[in-house]
Amino acid sequence: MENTKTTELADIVRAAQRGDENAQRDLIVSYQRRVAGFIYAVIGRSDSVEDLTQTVFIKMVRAISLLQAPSQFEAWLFRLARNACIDHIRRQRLRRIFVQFGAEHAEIAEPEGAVDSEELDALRHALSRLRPADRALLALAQEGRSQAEMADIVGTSVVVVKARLHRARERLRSFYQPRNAHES
Amino acid sequence: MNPEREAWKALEENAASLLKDNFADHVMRVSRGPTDAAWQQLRAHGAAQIRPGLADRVMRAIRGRIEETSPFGHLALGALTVALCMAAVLFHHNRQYRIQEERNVAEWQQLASEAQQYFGFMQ
Repeated sequence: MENTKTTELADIVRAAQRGDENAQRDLIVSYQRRVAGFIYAVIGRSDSVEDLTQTVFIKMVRAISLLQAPSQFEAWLFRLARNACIDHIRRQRLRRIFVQFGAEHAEIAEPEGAVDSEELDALRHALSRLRPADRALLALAQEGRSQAEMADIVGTSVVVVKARLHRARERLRSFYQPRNAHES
Repeated sequence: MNPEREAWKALEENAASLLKDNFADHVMRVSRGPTDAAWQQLRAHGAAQIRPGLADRVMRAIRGRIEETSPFGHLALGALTVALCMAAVLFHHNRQYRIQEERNVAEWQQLASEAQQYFGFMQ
């Protein structure tokens, strides 16, 4: 079953590489929710999710012909998403340096309670305390990427990924405080 | 019960009354860290930010960019740049030439008048 799915995906990727617009559109529709969810986990703001997701898919369509192994499509797509998020966060920081008056607006995190669950708020709050690279690593793990794939995506070794992932999980756990628990 | 023991008991009770009823559950939740359900909610919230028709918007944006950077567009932009550069060079050259010529004429005029004065004086 899993094999059939992988073969199907590889076929769609190959068609997309040949420039088949229907295949490219299929890939976008199939992955848009996952990519948007990943992006939100990394950048932590709702208002940039759509733009960044669009940017990632534009890059995907333009560069898909360069992808060597269609079976690596998912890992490759999440690498694009991760890099887009990190670039976005860097640009935001730079903008904050140059546009001083906008700083307080850029710093404002989404209001607590903007999302509908206490656990979700706590997770968002805990994620916001981590470094973007660590958030990306945790989000990749949640996406089901293997440690080898993560190492490839981040451009480091499996050992380093393992250590960083462990540290990131520890830190996330230390910052994770659902409101009721915090009050008590 | 001795007074010291009573005091300890009162202290314990006071401290315990500060805790909520479901304190143990909260501690367990915090110690386990975020659940998969929380992660799922987070990702679903992110996914919900996309307006319908993202694929169409992406494809349109790509087509737009391809049209923007068509070979004809590149050629036209290149030709316009070359034309502007040439015009600027010609303008600069003409201006320099005119200034130089005016300077030469002025020098010749001065030389001629000096020569005239000199010959007039000799006669």
